[in-house]
Amino acid sequence: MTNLVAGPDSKLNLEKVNVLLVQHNKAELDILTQTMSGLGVWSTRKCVSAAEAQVLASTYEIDLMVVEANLPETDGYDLVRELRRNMNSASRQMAIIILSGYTMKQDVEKARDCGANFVLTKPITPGIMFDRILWLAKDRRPFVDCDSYSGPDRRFRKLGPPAGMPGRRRDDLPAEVGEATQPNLSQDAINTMLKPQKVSL
Amino acid sequence: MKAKLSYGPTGLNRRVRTDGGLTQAEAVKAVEARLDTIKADVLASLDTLIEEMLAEKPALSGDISATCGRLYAFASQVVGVAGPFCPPEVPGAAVSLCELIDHMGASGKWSAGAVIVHLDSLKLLRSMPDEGQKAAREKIFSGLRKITLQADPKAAT
Repeated sequence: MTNLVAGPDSKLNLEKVNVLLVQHNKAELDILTQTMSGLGVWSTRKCVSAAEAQVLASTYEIDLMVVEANLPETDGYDLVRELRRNMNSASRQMAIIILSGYTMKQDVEKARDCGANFVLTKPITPGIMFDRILWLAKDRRPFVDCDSYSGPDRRFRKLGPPAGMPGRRRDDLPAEVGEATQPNLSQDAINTMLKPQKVSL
Repeated sequence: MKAKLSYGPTGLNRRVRTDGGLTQAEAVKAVEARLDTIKADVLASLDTLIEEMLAEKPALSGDISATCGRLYAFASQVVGVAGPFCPPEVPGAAVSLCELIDHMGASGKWSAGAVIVHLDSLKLLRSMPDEGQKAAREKIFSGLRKITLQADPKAAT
């Protein structure tokens, strides 16, 4: 992967990315399919139920799954949890976006705890989808497996458990800011940084 | 089981490229062009969805919480289907209905009247032309928001 930088000129080439769309409403599935094609995805697999999604995710190596939260029978959250737990699936570490019509705080927590990377509130706009995929393509959080959870590391800030507790990692940030290691900026230096400057074009 | 961390790149990390790709503006334009090709079919299916929701009205006088569960599922679909093609008040009314049902479920105080107003408004908003009726659409939508906010159990305390 080449360097991905967020910005208006950021380019995203999704030609080689394998996408799985899980949506029981046909019209919504058509919208998602056209959205993915427009974003430049060549390989899109579609299905209308969690059971079909299980089979496809186990059979093919999927890189990105976009799944409806309110699927009939098994909902999107349970599907994600099962897929993340399936040790035999080549797709278990794929990026996952959950789509929800109305997202309450507990739905976001449910999405985080089932192992999804993102929850997106509908209606989905192509710009938002582009930004989220770009973000996911750059995301290098480790994948965690433990008794109660399988999925991307839920800790965005590496503060880790408190000092002295087991489970701290070498790169966890200290809880305290600590003493400054360089002299403070003078007020003049701060004023210069904040002063409006004319820009020559 | 001790927590195990894998640091390897995901399939998406490996397969995304920047060479030869699209900028956001180019991608949005391409998606909009593609969505135009399915607009008529999607709007027809939106109208069917709204009719199915209206057909649930008589059931609101029976088991209202079960009926609202079905309406919630329909409304969630309306949000996704109407989003790319309708003025924002149409998906907004469906979101408002989802929120109303959540509030009523949390408080245990069900109101068939509040649900029916949402259903009728959804039908009305969909039947209004996209152009030239903005103020009227906003007025309807703001009325729905008031109803939904009144049902919020947190607002009552």
